[in-house]
This record gives sequence, structure tokens and C-alpha cells, in this order.
Amino acid sequence: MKRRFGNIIALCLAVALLYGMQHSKPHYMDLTGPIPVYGKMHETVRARLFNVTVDDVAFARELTVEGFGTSKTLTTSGVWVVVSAQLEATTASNVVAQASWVGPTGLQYDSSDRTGYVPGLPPHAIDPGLPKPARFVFETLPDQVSGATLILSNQLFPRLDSQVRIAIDRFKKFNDGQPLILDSFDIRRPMAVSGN
Amino acid sequence: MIVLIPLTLFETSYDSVRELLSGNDLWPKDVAAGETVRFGGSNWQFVSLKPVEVLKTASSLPSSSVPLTARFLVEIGNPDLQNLWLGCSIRLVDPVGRLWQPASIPGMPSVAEGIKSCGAAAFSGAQSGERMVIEESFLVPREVATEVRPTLGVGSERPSYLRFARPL
Amino acid sequence: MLSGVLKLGSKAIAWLTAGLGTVAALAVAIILGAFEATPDQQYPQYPNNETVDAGQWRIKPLSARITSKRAFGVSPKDGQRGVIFEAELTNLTARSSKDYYGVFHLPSLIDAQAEKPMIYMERDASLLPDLHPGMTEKMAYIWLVPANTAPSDTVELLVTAKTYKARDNLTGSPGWYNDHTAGIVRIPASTEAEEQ
Repeated sequence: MKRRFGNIIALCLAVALLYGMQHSKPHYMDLTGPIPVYGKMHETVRARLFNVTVDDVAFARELTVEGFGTSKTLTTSGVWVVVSAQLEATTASNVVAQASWVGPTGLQYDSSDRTGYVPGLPPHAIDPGLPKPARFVFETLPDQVSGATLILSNQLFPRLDSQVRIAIDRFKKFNDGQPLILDSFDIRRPMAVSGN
Repeated sequence: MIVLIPLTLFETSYDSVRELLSGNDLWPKDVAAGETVRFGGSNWQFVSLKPVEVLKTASSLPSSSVPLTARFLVEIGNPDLQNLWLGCSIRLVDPVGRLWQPASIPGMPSVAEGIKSCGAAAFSGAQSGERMVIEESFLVPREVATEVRPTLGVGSERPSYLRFARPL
Repeated sequence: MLSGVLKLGSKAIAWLTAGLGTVAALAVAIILGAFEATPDQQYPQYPNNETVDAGQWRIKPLSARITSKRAFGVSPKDGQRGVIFEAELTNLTARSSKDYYGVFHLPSLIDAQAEKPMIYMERDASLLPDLHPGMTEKMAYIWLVPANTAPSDTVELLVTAKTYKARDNLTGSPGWYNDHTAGIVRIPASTEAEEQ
């Protein structure tokens, strides 16, 4: 009888311990999540497999893209964001496939898939020693511009791999802090190359 | 417990370890210049790694880059290429270990009849005893163009891979 | 009492336990089955042309029509009709998503004979684009159904919603889980005359 009582106590203790651990310890997804690499615009940010420098961020009401010889103009219910950057592989050829625009409150706007396949937009195949101009386009809401962060990684859901997080603070804006929004942006426009 | 815990660890990690070993080129086997090596059931010889003349109109190559084509001569041994050459990858490696994968190069002239990439050759249905030329093209920075050398990995030989010396 | 039971042979106890277990399992199954089979649960009917929150999406049913003509990229074959349903959708989650794919369903009798729906953004007819947080877009769902099962004057659609959990039990990641039918849309449908 005493032994049985002891078993019940042990069981209850185990349950309590596991419950406590479930609520107090970091979760599996947090432990195996992306490894953030923080950076700023106009400086080279180094991830495990790629280096990136964000040169410019522009906003527009319409976006013109060209793929397979036909050009199309895309409208949006918010605003288009066009990020121009330089990408370079570190140790081996690889692909930067995932880019997101994260607003000040954490809403995550993945790079737009409405453009279809367009050269110069992700996925970006990159090689070591050969820096390459790369663009990313997003749709977002005007109130998600100020205090935003650009997130880049090789894969869609990076796990235990670096994820670049670049604070977006420098863009053309008015005195009240509102961003300058162009009527339209043509993605074929050559990129201003900074540095080299 | 002393037996069970290591056993469990072994059991749960076994598949991951096997996948890691069979999915990556980890251990190099150096091949001397001009030497023919049996690899993935066939005889491989590295012939050349030469700059490619691209069409002048193609101006989209980065100015600091050089397009290179690596050429191999292969005599097919075991014709089950689809299995033996699964995941065939030819890459270039520089002295510090940076790796370049084959790239599509704008303005490159089309390759001669019969020359295949490794992936296409694996599905070509080539018979035993057949000889074929395999080529892959790369884009590398100018400063390492004379230092890079090719590596070859196929699914049936991983984690070992071949690292070729450049012919003088 | 307990000691009385304990005096029985171990074989008898085993039989008794197995028997009780079976009875308990059967009872649970029957009770669950009974709940499942509750005939025609009364789902709330969502009003047309009004916005309502259904789990991870804010929806506004707009219109429906039955056609034998090509619409967006979809052409009904002979003996087929296209059921086209238009709605405004707003992503209420924190990340871009194509999860609207499973929000509207034809009733199971028709659905079993229908082809998988194609969903287009009305803005530029892009197929299954990501919808971004807070950005309202007008979408068109198109099902191809056999002509004899096509609804005539009213299209009925079940609305599937998910529930937000701050963390799921296995991995601890936040997300939207547990599909359930949250309501029903009954919308008058116009029929486009067949061209001969």
C-alpha cells in the first residue's frame, strides 16, 4: 500500500515537472530557429553563406516588370517596396531565396510572388567572389514602412542557419517622416552601384 | 539505462548521419594530372579547364569574372548511370576551399554535338564501353581563374569525391 | 472491497481489465460518433456584402455566377460549368499566406464531383498569389463542376476557419490550427447563357 502511494506521488511529481518545463523552458522551434545576424543599410552584413549590402529602398504605387519579353505594370492596394542590394556568396555557390519586409509591429510581408519569373528578382543564384546586384520587391501598407526590418535567408524557413536582419532607416522621406512614394517604379531601371 | 540511452541516440541519429554522409562531398581523393580514375563505375579523365570565348554582345557578365569550361573524358563501365551518378556534381574549388557550381553563362556558344553535362549524361542511356565528353561551365573571379581545379562527386561514391590536379 | 477484488486470480483480473477497457473504448467511440453525426449543425449564415471575421481571414462575399464560358484562365469543358465566387479577403495573420485556398468549400455532395478550385486575384488575374497582412484584395474562386450538379440560383459555400494558438503542443510554435466550419455563405447566382 505504501509503495503504491509512493508510485502515485512519483507520477504526480513527474507530471508537474514536465508541465513546469514545458512552460518555463525554451521551445523546440525557438531552440532550432534561425540565427539572427543584425545589420544596417549601406554596410556589408555577413551571413554564413552570403554577404549582403543594402544600397537603396524605394516606394511606389505601381511596379513595372519584364519577364520573357513582356512587360507588365502591377498595381497594389498598399505600396510597392523595391530594395536594391549587392549579394555575394562566401564559401560556396548558393541561392538566396527568402526575403521578407517586417513592419514595426512584426507583421511579415514576404517578397511578392505576383511578378512571376523576372531576372534580377529572387531566387538569386550567387557565387563566391562575384558580387551581384539583386532586387527584392514587397507589397506592404504605408504604416508598415517606418521602423521596418528587411529579413534575408537562403531558405524559406531557416533552421539553425543565419538570417540577416537589416534595419531600414534611410530612404527618401518628407519632413513629417512619411516616405516619398513614386507614382511608378520600373524594375529594369539600372541600379546605382555603391562602393565599387 | 547505460545500454539503452546510447542505443537510442544511435538509432535516432543513424539516418541523419547516413544522409549527411551520402549527400555531401566530404573526403577528397586527389587525382594527378592526366590520370584516369575509376569512379561511380566508370573511368574518368580530366582533360582541360579553359576560358570560354563569349559573344561580345553579351555585356551582362560581371567585369571581374572569367567564364571557364571544364572538360572530362569518360569511358562508361557499369551502364547503370541513373543510379550510380545520382546527384552528380562537378564544381570548382580554389586554394582556400571556396566552391563554384556550374552557371548558365549568357552569350556562351552552344556546345558541340555529343558533349553533355554530367546530369544529362546520367540519363543519356550510354552503354558500357562507350566514350563520351562531359563539360560544365562556370563563372569565377578573375584572380582565381588560374588556381581553381575541378572536383567530382556522385551519389554512389559519397562521402568521397575526386579532386583533380590541373594539367600543366 | 479492494482486497476482495485482489483475491481473484490474476487471470480473472486480466480478463476483467481487458473487458472494461473494451467497454470504455466502445463507449467513447459511440459518444464521439454520436457528436459527429449530429445532423445538420446549424452554422451561422454570413450576410452577403458585409465583412465578417472567420478565423485567420476577414471575408466579404460579393457575388456568384455560373458560366459555361472561359473565365480568368479556366475554360469549362463540354458538360461542365464554372462556379465563380467573388469575395474580398483580408489576411488577419501576421504573415503573408495562401491559406485562403481552403476557406470556401462547396457542399460535400457537389465538392466530391468538382475539380479543385483555381483562385485568382482580380487586380491582375495572378493565380494563387500570397495575400499580405491587412491588405484587402478581391479574389475570384472558380470551381469546375458537372453541369447537372451546378447550383442554379443560389450558391452555398461552407466557410472553414482556423483558431490561433500561441504555441502548438509538439514544437511550441505559434500558429493557426484546428480547421472547423465557422459559417455558411448563401449567395444568389446569376447564370451566363450558353452560347451556341
